[in-house]
Amino acid sequence: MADQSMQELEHATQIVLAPPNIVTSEQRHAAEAVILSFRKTKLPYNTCKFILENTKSDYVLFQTATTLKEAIVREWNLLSADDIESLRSFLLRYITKHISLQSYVREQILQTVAVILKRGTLDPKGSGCENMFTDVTSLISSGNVTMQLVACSMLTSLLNEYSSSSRTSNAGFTWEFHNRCKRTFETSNLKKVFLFCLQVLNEIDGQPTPLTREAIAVLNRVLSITEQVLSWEFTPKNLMRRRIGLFETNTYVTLKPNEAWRDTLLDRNILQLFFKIHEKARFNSEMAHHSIQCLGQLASLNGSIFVNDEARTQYLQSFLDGFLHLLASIDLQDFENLGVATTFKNLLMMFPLPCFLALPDTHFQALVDHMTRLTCHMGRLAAMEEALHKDDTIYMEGYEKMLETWMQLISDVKSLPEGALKPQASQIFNSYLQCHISPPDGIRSQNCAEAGVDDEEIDELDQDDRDKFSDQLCCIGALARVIPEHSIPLLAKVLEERVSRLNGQLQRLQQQRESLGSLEASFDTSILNILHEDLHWLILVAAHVLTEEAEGETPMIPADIMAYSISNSKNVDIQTTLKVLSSPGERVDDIPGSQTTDGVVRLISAVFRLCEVETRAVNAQLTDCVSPQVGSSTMWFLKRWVLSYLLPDENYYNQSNTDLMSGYQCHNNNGHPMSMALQSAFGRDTEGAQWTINFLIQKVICNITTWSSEDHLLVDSLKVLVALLKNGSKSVFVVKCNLMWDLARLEASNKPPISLLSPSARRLLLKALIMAGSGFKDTSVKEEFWKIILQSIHDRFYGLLCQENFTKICQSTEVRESVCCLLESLLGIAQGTRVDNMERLFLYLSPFMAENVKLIDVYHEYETIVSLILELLSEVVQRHLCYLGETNSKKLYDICLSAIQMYSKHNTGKRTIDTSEDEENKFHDILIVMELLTNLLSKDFLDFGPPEETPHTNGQVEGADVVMYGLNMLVPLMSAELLKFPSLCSQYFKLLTFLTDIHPEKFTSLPENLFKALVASIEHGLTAFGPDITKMCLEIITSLATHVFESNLTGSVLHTTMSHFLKLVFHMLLLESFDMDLIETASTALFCLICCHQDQYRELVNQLLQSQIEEQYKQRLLVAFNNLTPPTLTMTINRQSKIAFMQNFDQFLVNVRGFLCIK
Amino acid sequence: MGDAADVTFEKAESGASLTYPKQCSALRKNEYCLIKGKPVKIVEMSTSKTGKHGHAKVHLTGLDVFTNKKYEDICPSTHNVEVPNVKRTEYQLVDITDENFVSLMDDAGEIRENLKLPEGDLGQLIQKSFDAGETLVVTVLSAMGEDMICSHKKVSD
Repeated sequence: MADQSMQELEHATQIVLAPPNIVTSEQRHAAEAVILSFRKTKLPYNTCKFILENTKSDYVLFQTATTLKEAIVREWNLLSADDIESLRSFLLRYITKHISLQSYVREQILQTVAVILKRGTLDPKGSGCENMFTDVTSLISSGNVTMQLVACSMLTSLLNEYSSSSRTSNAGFTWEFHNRCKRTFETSNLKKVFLFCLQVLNEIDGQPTPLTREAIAVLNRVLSITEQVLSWEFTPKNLMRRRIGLFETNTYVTLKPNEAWRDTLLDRNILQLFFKIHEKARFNSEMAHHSIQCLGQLASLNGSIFVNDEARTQYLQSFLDGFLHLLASIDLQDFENLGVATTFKNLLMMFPLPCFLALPDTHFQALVDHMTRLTCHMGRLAAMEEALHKDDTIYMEGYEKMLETWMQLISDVKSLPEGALKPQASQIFNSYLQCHISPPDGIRSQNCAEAGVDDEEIDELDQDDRDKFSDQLCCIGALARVIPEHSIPLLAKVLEERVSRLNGQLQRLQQQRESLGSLEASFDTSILNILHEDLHWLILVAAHVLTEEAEGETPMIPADIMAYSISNSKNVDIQTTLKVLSSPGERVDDIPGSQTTDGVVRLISAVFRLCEVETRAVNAQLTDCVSPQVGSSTMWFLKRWVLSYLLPDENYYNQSNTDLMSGYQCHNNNGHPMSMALQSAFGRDTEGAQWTINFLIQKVICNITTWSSEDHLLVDSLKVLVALLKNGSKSVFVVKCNLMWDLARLEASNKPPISLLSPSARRLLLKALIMAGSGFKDTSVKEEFWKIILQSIHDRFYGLLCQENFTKICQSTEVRESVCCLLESLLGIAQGTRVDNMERLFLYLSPFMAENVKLIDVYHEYETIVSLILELLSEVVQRHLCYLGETNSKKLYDICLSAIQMYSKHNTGKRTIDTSEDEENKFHDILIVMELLTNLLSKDFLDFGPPEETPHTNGQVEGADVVMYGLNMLVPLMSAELLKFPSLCSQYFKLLTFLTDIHPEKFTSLPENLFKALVASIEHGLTAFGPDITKMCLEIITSLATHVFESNLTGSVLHTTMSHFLKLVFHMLLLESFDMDLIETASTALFCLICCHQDQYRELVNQLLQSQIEEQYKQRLLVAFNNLTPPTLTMTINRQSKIAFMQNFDQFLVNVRGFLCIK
Repeated sequence: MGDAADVTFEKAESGASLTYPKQCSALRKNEYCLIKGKPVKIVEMSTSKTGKHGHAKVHLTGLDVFTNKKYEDICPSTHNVEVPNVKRTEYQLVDITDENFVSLMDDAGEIRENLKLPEGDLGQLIQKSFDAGETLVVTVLSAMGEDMICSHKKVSD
């Protein structure tokens, strides 16, 4: 019988493993069926034992072990304690007897043993792990390496099974069962495993170095087990609600054991053992990895294991004794860096600064010194790694960890003695700068130039350094602000020096060309490229030193920089400072008394000097020798700098009185007033600022004129312009610059270079010009300024469209291009909308939009134009609609409706020949239409429009009607495939969320097909696209169910649909792995659905109760359901009930998800 | 270029030249240009540079508007490329002859009969719809002196 089964299995295995050309797929399926049916055999134990002893096929062994594992879990209740124990010892004996098993077979058998033990954890029938440990101990003491390794594998699979994580096998237990087993194991066995590891480690520590091969094999495995124990996620005393039902593994776990571990982990000998072991293990990269991970975890020790701060400090001291000794006695090997960096980071994260300060002085000093030394070391190697384009970035990762550690430390620098960390910060800053500039003062690898890497092709998709390295640049900037008196003059000096070298180099080139009499004369660019690279990095660093990221806050001058400028004021001469600033064409050293220049202004003026050198090079027809990359970086620097330094609002700085400050957002001001030098150079109503504005605008115009072929540089330049004009109170000063008028006229002329601008650049330019208009206080001047731009576009637009032969020539490529260009300009104008110019711009834009509807008709064959028109509409709706009064709103609704009608007229039922890009184009159109529809609904949320005296009541077009019309047209164009585009998907559901929230009644009278398609998409969205979309779908369901309930629509199609959703949501929340962050939205949806279909809900509850086999669970479930909807809860949809239900539901899930979720 | 507009050639709307030059950086995806003398629709456009401090170059990938064959080109973004005058015209489909020639009528009621049904799916679809007695409007794409039907739609009314 057993023999026959074995033969069948062996035969089936041959077929399953055969190459596809030898067996048919029917044969393969049949063979798979044989194996699957064997796995379901009742009481297969003897058969399995027979097969294990007799078969020669590894795959059959594997399947047999799996069969045993599944059968034991399935038939646990039929087996006696003796059966189970004999099976377990059989399997373990089997492993030890068959030492040459394939590892996947051995692991599977050991996993079976682990599952047997785990299943018995909470059962008197289980023998517990006692016998196991006896076996493991005897295996270890056998002195046979193979047996010792088997013992290690045993422990590993035990840890995997009990950790209740993604490593745990799928045995069909409830989450609650997994968790109780984990807790039991944690209290009674985990420490045993650890002590067992310590024992082996102690033995190995006693062996002479170098270790034998056998010892190394065992040490490697034991260290891996130790690492797993030290990375164990200890069950907190109170269960965390959001962890219930989840089997995921946390990636970052700190060592947080309970009091029971005190005697072990706080024993200083144990820490010493780990440091000693690392010295033995570090010569093998795999072992070194495990042992340094152990050290890293030990560095993160926290929680109730420490009675008080004293205990904490004592542990820290023991740890540092070992760690500092280790660092002092070894040179790190490449694979040790990341681990060491992690150890530093964990120490600084987990131990509060006072603990460090309570240590003997030498400890903290030594720690910080080692940190500094290693940070610089890793930084240098990271730069080398980067220069060589290595795929492996071990140094870079280590370096970034070290920098993060420093951020942790300097955030507390105020609680350290004055001047602390300054030497360290200087060292790290110097080293970073050196790594990024060329010799002699820098050490940047010149290899790239030699190896011809300069000729490497760089794709536009390659990230710019400013983004790629923004994290480390931020850290370096913060460190530099600890030592502004060092970093700022240093940066200024190096930058000035490089700028004058660039100037000299360019002049030489010019002379060379003149003497050769040819522009085309070739020359060696390597020196230039080295200078460009230096300048690029100096600018990036300077930007991060002088400015901080200020997302969502008013950008300010960092307090440290301000304090530095103030503290230096006695050595500063304001007139000289202004002279240095305003003569970018001169060398600083040539200006008398230049050493009395304010340091901050001097650094900024060095950047201006660079701008000036570039401009002169361009004028000398050396454009081909100028680096667009350096230009871009410079413009990016200036944008950041303008936002915080130019024309600052003195109210944010002047007053140190807290009562005056409280009204402002001044996150980083520690009560410093404005520095005199910065105030005179860049303050409002100063000549310095006016000169600077002029200089910047001139530079922007120069870039527009020179660089039409370098889009990035143009966009960065125009962003400087937008930054200048963004703030209303600053733009008043900016428009005093007459160049603004020149720029406006340049735009109006529409000749090259303006006509060559890329779409994104054109939009930014128009946006800036429109915003500039707001800066003029005098209404007639303001109007005059706007007129230059607005009139020119108006004339060009109508000039084009009103030509007699427009219908004839409209299709010509040139005309189409002019149309695109005008639409881009209008989009830029719309993007420049602000509250103060909104009225004027709406008046201006609305005739164009009406005209555009006709253009959709004319140009329906050209996606680009149609998309632009729709985008313009969407932009205007978004920026204007909420401020419009009723008449104008109606006007805009009408335009949108006719635009959508026109779009749909040409896009319904259309087929095009090119399938390759068709979908993506269509997708872009649809996305814009959807954005437009969503924006149209916004007025129902936010309406600042003035009330009208005579409200129109008849023939009123509502936003929602336009949206419904649009939706009706869009949904047939949508497909499940299209929803896979994330932006389209989220826009679609956002639109539905808005619509159902404001106008659920619109969903009762939809055409059947449309309604069905909508419901199907919501159902799909509930599970298919991640938590954000799930949330929106739940909100949609809530709105619809609320409407059904409140309007008493029993019997309607919508009502029936809710019954379907009730079933879906019920299953999703109770039985499936579900994101607990959505609990609030989900419980509300469920509650509203229950209110609509109370009978069906009872039915679902009954079904779930019936499906529970264990009486105990059934009882608990019944009680939980009763508590979920107690008689006191009124089943009507209102705030109180929703909140009450949500609280009940939360409790409900805590009680039942544990056994409803199964792995 | 508009000076030639008054001269009337047979079938030529404006007498405009077949192509005109444009700075490479000003081209856009979904527009047209010439690559190796062929009118192509640009389906991919990217920029790159040689070395970090180099100047931008434009990579163009285009599909021949008539044959759908792929062409690629690369040029400095300051250079000019030739852009074909591409036109799309709608006609009502009047008849399909045995040799797959079609008879098309424009807005003014003029009939032209010098075009064939396109090969492949589109041609078959048009034939099928036409056989079913549906009223069809086809779009004819013209560039570099060549014409081809590129899409069709049913007219509901």
